[in-house]
This record gives sequence, C-alpha cells and structure tokens, in this order.
Amino acid sequence: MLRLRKIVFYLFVLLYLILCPLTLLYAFGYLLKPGRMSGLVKTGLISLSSLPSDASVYIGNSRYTERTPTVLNDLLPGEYDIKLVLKNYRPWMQKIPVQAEKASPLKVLLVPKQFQPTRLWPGPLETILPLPGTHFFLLKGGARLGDLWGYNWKTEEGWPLVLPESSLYEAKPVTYFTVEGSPFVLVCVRFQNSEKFLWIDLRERERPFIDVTRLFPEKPTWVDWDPHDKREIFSLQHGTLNRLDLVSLAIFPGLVEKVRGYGISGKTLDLLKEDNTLERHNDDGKYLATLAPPALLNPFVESPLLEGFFGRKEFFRVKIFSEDYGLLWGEKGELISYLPVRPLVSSGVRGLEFDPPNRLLIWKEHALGLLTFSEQPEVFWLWENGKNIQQAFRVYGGSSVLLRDNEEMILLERTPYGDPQVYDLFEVQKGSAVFYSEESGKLYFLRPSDGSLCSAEILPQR
Amino acid sequence: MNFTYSRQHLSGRERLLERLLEILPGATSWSLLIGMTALSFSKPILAAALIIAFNLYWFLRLCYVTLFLVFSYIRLSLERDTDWMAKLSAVDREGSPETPSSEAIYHLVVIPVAKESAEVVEPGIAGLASSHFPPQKILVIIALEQRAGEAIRKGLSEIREKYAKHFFDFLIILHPDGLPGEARVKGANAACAAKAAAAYFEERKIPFERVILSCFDADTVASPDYFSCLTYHFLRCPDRNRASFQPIPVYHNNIWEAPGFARVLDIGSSFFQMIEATNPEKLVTFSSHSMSFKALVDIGYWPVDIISDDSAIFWKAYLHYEGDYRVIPLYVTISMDVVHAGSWWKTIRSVYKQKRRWAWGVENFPIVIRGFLKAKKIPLSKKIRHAVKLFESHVAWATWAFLLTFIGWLPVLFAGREFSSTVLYYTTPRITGILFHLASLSLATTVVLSLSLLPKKKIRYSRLKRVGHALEWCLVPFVVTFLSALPALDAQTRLLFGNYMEFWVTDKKR
Repeated sequence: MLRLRKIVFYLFVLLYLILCPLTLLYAFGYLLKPGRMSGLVKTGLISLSSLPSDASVYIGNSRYTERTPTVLNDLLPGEYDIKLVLKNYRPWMQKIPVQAEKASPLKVLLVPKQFQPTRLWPGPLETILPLPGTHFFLLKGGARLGDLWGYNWKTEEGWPLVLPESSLYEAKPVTYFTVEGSPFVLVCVRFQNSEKFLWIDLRERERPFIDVTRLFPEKPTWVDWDPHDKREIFSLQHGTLNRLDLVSLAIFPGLVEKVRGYGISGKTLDLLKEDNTLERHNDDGKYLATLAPPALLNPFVESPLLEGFFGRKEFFRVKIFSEDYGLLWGEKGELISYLPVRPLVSSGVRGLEFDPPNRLLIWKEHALGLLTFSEQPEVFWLWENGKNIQQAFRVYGGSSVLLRDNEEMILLERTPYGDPQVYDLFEVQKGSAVFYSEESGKLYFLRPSDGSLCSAEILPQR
Repeated sequence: MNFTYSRQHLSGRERLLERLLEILPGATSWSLLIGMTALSFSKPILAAALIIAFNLYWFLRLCYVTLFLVFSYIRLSLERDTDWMAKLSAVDREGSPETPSSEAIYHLVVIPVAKESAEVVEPGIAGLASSHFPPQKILVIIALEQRAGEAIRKGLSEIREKYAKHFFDFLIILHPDGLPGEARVKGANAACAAKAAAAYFEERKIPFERVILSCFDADTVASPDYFSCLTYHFLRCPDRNRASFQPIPVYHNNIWEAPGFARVLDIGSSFFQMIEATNPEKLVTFSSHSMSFKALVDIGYWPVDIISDDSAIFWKAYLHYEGDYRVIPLYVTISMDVVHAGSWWKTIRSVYKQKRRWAWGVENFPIVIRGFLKAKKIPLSKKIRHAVKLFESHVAWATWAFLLTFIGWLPVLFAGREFSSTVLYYTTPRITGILFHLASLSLATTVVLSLSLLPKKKIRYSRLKRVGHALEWCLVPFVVTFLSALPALDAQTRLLFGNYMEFWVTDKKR
C-alpha cells in the first residue's frame, strides 16, 4: 500500500504540474492553436445576457449552440457581428470588438415588436405627477383638487385625495413640491382668493392631507425635505432658510440667512449663500464647514460660459450625492459640480437621475448625457437627436434609457461599443408626464386615444 | 532521548522558541485568510490566479484521498471476515523464538471517565466481555476522576459488579484532582490509572513486554475481533514494543439518534482515519487506540498537561525513541458515539467544542519541533516530513474550507471595472464550477461508502432514512466550514495568543 501510495502521489504531483499552468493559461485566455501555425494564441470573450433570456445567438451567420445568457469563449481578437433573435422581439445586432485577454460584456434588453398596454384607470386624465422612488404617483384629471387622485402602482389602486363634500374640493392646485423617495407631496392650492398649503401623505387614505398653510406666511421660493424625515421640512423665503415642524406646525425661522440655494441629505444642509460661499450646516442650522469660498465660485461670474450667472440671484437647487460630491442646479438648467467646483453645463438641463455607482443621467431639450463623478467630473453626451426631451428613466440597471421626447416614448440602448441603439416604442398623451418603475419594469402613461392610465411592460419580469 | 514533552517549566530560550512556534500555525492561517481577502480586493487578477491554482490542487488532492479511501474500504471489507483467533493459533504453532505465545499476552484496557454515565460506559464493557480473545486475559481499569459525581461512581461500581467475573480483573482507579504539575486533562487521569496498572503487573510478575495497553474513550465499543486482531498484529510486529496500533474509529453507537450534521462530521472523521491508515509512515494515533505497555512505561506515560493525549502519546514515544517508533494501522473498527447533546443547538455547541479540542492538537506542533531540534538520531528527511505534515494539516484544516466557500469567490463578487473586463473574471468561476462538479463525484463515493459502512444490525429505520442520510452529505460545505474549520481556527488563534485550553468532555447521549 505504501509503495502504491508513493506512486500515486508522484503521479498526482506530475498531473498538477502539467494541469496547473495549462489551466491558468486557459483562464487568462490563452489557447493552443492546432494546425500549421500552431502555438499559443491569446483570446478574448463576449459575455452575453439578454432580457428576456433564451435568445438565439448568431456570430456572423453562424448560430451559436447556446442561448442567452452565455459566454462566447475562445474568440481571437477582432470584431464580431453578434445578433440576438427571439420570437416576438425585435432582432438585436451589434458589431462587438474582442481584445486579447479581455471580456466584452453585453447586457441587452430586447424590445418587443408590439407592446400590449394594460388599461389601469379610466380616463380622461390630464397628466401623471410622478413620485420617483415610491410606489405612488398622482393622477390629475382636471383643474380642481377634487380631480386629483392618488395611485399606488404596486397594488394598482387609486383613490381621491378629497371627497366632493370637502370644502377644498373646488380648490385649484398651483404648485407641487415633491422629493425623490418621499411619499409626501406639498401642494399649494388657490382657494377663495387665497393660497393654502396642503401636506399630502399618499400612504394615508382616511386623512390624506393636513393643512399646513400657517407654516407658509408667504409663498416659498423652494421647499425641500429629507425623504426619511417625516417631521421636518425646510423652506426658503426671501433668502432665509426656515425649518418647519409638521407635527406642532411650528416655524423655526432664520435657520440660515442670505441663502440663494440649498439641498438636504439626512442631517446635512449644503447651502449656496448670497455671497457665493458654499457652506455645509447641520439641520439645526449650525455651521459645519465651508465647502467652497467665494473666491472659488466668483471667477465663474466673469466666465463667458456663465456670464451674469451669479449676478442674477437666481435660485439654485443643491443636489447632494455623497459627502464629497454634489451639484448646483440652476433655474435655467446650469449645472456646476462641487467638489471640485467645476461648471459642467451652461444651461438647459431639464432633469437628472442618479446612475449608480458614480454617474448621473442628465437631459436637455435635445440631448441625453452622462455625468461621471470623478476628480475631473465631465459630461458625455450619449444622444443628441431629441426633439423635446421631457423625461428620462434608467432601465435595466442603466443599460438602457427610456425617454419621453414630446409624446414619443423612445428606448435608447447604451452600448460601450458604438452609438446607442434607438427604438421608437409608442406614443403617449400629448403634454402628459409618464412614470417608470424599475421595480415593476412597467411604464405608466396616459393613452392618447382616451386619456386613460395604462401600463406597458418595458422590462419583462425575470 | 531525554526530552520533557511539555510546554511547562521551560528555560528562557526554550520558552521563547516554544512561544514562537505556538504563534506560527495561527499566524500562518490568519495570514492566508486575510492575505487572500486583501489580495482579492487589491490585486484581483493575482488572487483569481492563485485561487484557480489552489482549487485545482484541492481537487487533485481530493481525488487522491478518495482513491485511498476506496482502497482502505476494500481492505477493511476484505479483513472483516478474518478469523483472527485462527491466525493467532497459527502464529503460536509457528513457535518463533522472537514471537511470544498469544497465551502469554495480557491486555490492559484503560477507560478514562470524567462525567460519562454508566449508560455510556456499559456497552463498551459488555463488548470487552464478548471479545473473541479470551476476556480472562484482559485487565479493565476505569480511570475515574475524583470530581465525578456520586451517581457516576455508583453506576460504574454496578458495572464492575456485573462484569468483573468475565475479566482478568476489573479495577476502578480514582484520579485525585489538582495533583501538582497536572492539568485537568484526560492524559493525567489515564496516566494515573496506568501507573496503578504497572504496580499491579509488577506485583504479579507479569512482564510489561507482554502487556498491550488500549486506552479507550468511555463510549468506545470494540468489535469482538478487536483484541484478537490487535494481538495478531502485535505478535507479528518485529518492533512490537515500539509501536502503537490504530484501529478505524466509526461512530455507530448512536448514529441514528444524533442530528444529521453531527453524523456527517463524525463519518468524515472515520474516513479521514481510513485514508490515514493507508500511509503508516505518517500515521499518528487518534482517539481510542492501543500500544505496547512497555513503551508507555518507558516514555513515562501520557503527558499530564496536554489536552490532545491521543496524538501527544505518539509524539512523546517518537521523540523518546528518536524516530524508532511507529503506528501500525489495524483494519478493524471500534465504535464510538456521535456527539449528541439532546437538542440541535446544544449538539452544535458540543460538536464545535469537540472539534476545537481535536484541533487543539496543534499544541503538539511547537513541542514536536523543539523535540526534533534536539533529536540528533532522527533523519532530517523524517523530521521535515513529519513537521511539514503536522503544520500543513493544521493550517489546511483551518483555512481550506474558508478559501473554498468564501474567499475564493471574492475576486469575482467584488470585481472592479478593470478585473471584470478580463477573460479571467469569467473563466475563474467557470473553472471553479467545473472542479466543484467533478469533486461531487468524490462526494458521491463518500456517500456510497458511508451507506455501506452503516451498522447492519442496528438498522431500525426505513430505506427513506438511508436516503435522508445520503442527502445529509449536502450539508458538507456548512459542516466543514462552521463545525470543523472554524473551531480549528479558533484553537489556533487561542494558541497564537497563549490562551491555553482546558479539557472539555464531549456530551454524548443514548
């Protein structure tokens, strides 16, 4: 037994000494090429996944044995025409470059040849008021508060915010304030020649709103709150930042003076002061740090790019993305990053959406771009053929973008290997907003023919 | 060689060396785990390459040990029906002058008891009484701790009353608590009993060379063939007084009563011993085993301050005889209890503590290395072989399961953009997956062997129970990681920080 054990031991040692380097070479993409030009060649691969999965894969005209998701291994460096085909879906084609020892990952969202919208709520409705990051949106059926409905897209239930017997039924909503991830809406309504402010909790059916008018002696320039805070909101009135307590309906005035823009994240307030200082305060208004002195921001006043920018005293929304990174977003769509302070877009930014881990999807009237957070933040314009881009949503983990361009819904498939693929999907009601939820994979929109609320599955259920 | 097998009472330099060697296994294990984790984040390409190389090594080693497990099983099956008494008669008939007659051989069975009840001890005594080898040649000593409760003492006295007539003699030796220089370890109790036995044999003019000692755990049930098989191998061994004899431990006494995870783990221990049995050059005594009583007396009995007395006694003898000591594998089984403490949770705790105690065998490493440095007659190659095996087996025990189940996946799970765009990012899990799939063939072999090793007579359960037992092997990744590798790492960490363990008696219930 001992001798046998020794023989087997040395055999296994030999086997390991042979197999280990071969396995490692294979793992790194090396392949033994047979034939006249035999030898070790470097290869690369394409990792393909699609939604829905199980699509046939073609390399050039040859059909690959496996279906998606799959990995096309042992490819010699070069360009490969890859095509995905699945019944009832539009074929997907792309030229994919393969480099030695590198992987080319592709995550493809296949687009149905025909969408089958589901009618959820009868029309006619005027528009949808989205509450991103929540299970809710508002349905607006007319000019009165009584025409406003809450809607839970998760349970597909709708309910009126006020009943006909309410005195506020005929009030006319003027302004809406919402915060991403918060199920609350602050609505300013005009009622009997005065303005009232209503704090609406969309999770609450019995008593969906409270009258918080006394917290707003004057109309605020802006109202903002942390989505996780149910008690306190912050309003800006004539350059003064106030903290408002929604439970006791108490105002804590003059939290910080001479403010021209602000944003809140947790217990942190980042403020753009009137002297162009960017400061960090806590939610009690206590000064914590200067993020950028006036000297850093003032040069932009002289910049042709932002000429007159700081002279106009316009309001700036401050978007805080992390402790070290935020954006100043002006009323005219200017975008300036802090930290470091750097002008990014001179005007026209209509919307932005965080694209984890370190990017931001932004859109203007005609263009859709990506802003990458880094020490040198910069904007890369993905697509500049929009007519009038109103809304944009990240789809399938950001590998695609859904756009509302006028009344057209467009799906833009991002690819690292060339121009994005653009698919016209369908039309929605003119002038009405839409809502997309990555969680349900559905787009909620108003059908042009009858203004009813419909949903269409953009992301097939996995 | 005059070497004190202990970490106590060392001089300054020796103490420092001992301490450094105590630190080494734990430091190596932690360095491997932390280093590979750090590498997975900082240099994922290098980490992935190392993981592939390691996984392939693990797979080939698994194939290698599975092969010898099968060989060992075949040999165990072939020797199962051997008539050892007939073979003994044949040896006696040969009448070789170097070989004593089997009739001149006495057996001493020492059973250390601390808190085990009579219910646990009795089946083992009954097994001894029904031995094919004449029980009248067996001296049974129950080495009882003084701290044992009154109920245990009473139960053991009743056992003695019941079975004494079968044996040469049946003694209960009380081991006083807190003797100077002793720790609360099983070895101290067994040594106390063995000293009493030495006096007993001297009094009766029975030479120690004719006595074979078996030190059994309280729950050990020897097969009826055990003593005849042992006597045969003892007589056939030219250096019989410089040898230990290691049977295959199986855990069948309460196999169907214990929870599945404990069953899987202990069957794994049996298999480990079966594999080890095929390599007598590196075989070390484990759990219940036998040895020449003369050797035991010569080397000064078991260390009285070492927890892992089963392996320590081998190393003590090996160093005492400067390498001229060996372990002879016996392809005969002795049955013990699977850890069972009543509830699942209590059993998990008991299993964890038992495995940590076993893994505390790492305490032998610094002492053995110190001994090797002093032993001039042991060939260097032997020293290196034993030292590497002792060290590597403990480090592997504490690290491999973590590397295979967790750390090996880190480079892929937390890949940055740079690594995730390489071919290696995709091939690493693929290669690992293939190796794991192939390794399942080894697992299937293990399942088949475990089913065929199950006690035939004790089957009280349906075929469904057997299927359930086969499926229990799916618990292997969990069991090996949390109830084997983790306690081993725990033991090494304690040794690393000089936080020495005390003996803890495993819970065993019937």
